[in-house]
Amino acid sequence: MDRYPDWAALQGAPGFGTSERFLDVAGMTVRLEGFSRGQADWFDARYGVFAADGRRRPARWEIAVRQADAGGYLQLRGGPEPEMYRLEQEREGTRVRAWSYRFAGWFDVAAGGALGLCDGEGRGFESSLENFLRVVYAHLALEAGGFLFHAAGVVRGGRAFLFFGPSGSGKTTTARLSAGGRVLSDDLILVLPGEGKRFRAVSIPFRGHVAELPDEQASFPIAGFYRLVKDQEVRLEPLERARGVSEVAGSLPFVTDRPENGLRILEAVGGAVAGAPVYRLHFRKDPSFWEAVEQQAREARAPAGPAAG
Amino acid sequence: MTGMEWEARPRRNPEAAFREYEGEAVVVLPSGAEINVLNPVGGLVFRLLDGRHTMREIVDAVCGEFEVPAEEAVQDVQAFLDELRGHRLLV
Repeated sequence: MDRYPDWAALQGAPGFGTSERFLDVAGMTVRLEGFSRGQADWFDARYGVFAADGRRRPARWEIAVRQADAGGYLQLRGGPEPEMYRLEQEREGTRVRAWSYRFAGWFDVAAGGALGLCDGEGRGFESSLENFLRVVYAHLALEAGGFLFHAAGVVRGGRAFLFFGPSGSGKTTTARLSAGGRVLSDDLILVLPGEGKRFRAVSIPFRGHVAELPDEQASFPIAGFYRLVKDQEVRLEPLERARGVSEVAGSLPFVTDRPENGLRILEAVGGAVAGAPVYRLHFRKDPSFWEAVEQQAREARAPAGPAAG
Repeated sequence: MTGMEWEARPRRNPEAAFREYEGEAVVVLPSGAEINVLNPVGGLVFRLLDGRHTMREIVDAVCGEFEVPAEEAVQDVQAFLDELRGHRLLV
């Protein structure tokens, strides 16, 4: 049976140790304290260039990492079918509470947060910490006028092509079929407004299965958004802006279940879609979709010719 | 044209985010579970569901904007409001 977290107990729980680490993603720096030495070493190896030096880049948010008082929260339901990852969220004032199988935490974009972990090491520790950080950065991205996007991102020719859709739609497949490109992630992409409110795809430490840990933090102009549709033929179907906004906004994790985020989502996604077209990409399981995608991107960049007649 | 409460001033759910893009509107349902695109008629009606406009004014706006007969506009608006109620988009 699922267990509801005891938030008051989390507040006063002990940490695993006294180590601290800083995570910096596109200038959004979070300080995490309460790590053991082993956890801190894992953090450095896992997040590489995103593991910031807190002396050079002060953190705006602090998260206390604590030993959870429970052996677990959500329970695997069992049965023959693999279970979709479950994460519960609720809101108390400006505070977002999130909990899953082996962690419970809260975060407030104005005040930081706390994270209770059931495991001090191994897969339980690693996946719990990262899944909580995904929630944190989804909210920070929205606060920054952008969004965390459930998508695969591939950079070719200096521009990011963002392939999206629900689980099973082919994000990892398209990333694997993207030889010659730099895979930012096959799972989550950060989209943030850049200069002149032009939105860019930003490298993040949450990589999925295909991407390598980047050796630098970088951002790229967005060539287009491609809603994946498995098919026998390859074709691109352009979407009107409202339909495009709807499709993209439907692929934002963690933030769409809060009514107060609705306008921010429409603002951010509307801004991103204004600068980069949205298509339904019908594709089959081979790299041939790239020809159609890159041809469209070239045509979109080409200056318009003289009007006929 | 029976059944229409002409002086009623319906109001959309304030927890539903709404924005128009190039003549079409996108609505995020309060639960966030659905994000819907409204056609131009739906977008106009949804925008006027502010608790200030009467049903008569809403129907008149649809007639004027889309050049449809009043009876057709009434049917369209009623059907649209029924749909909104089903999604908890009216309060």
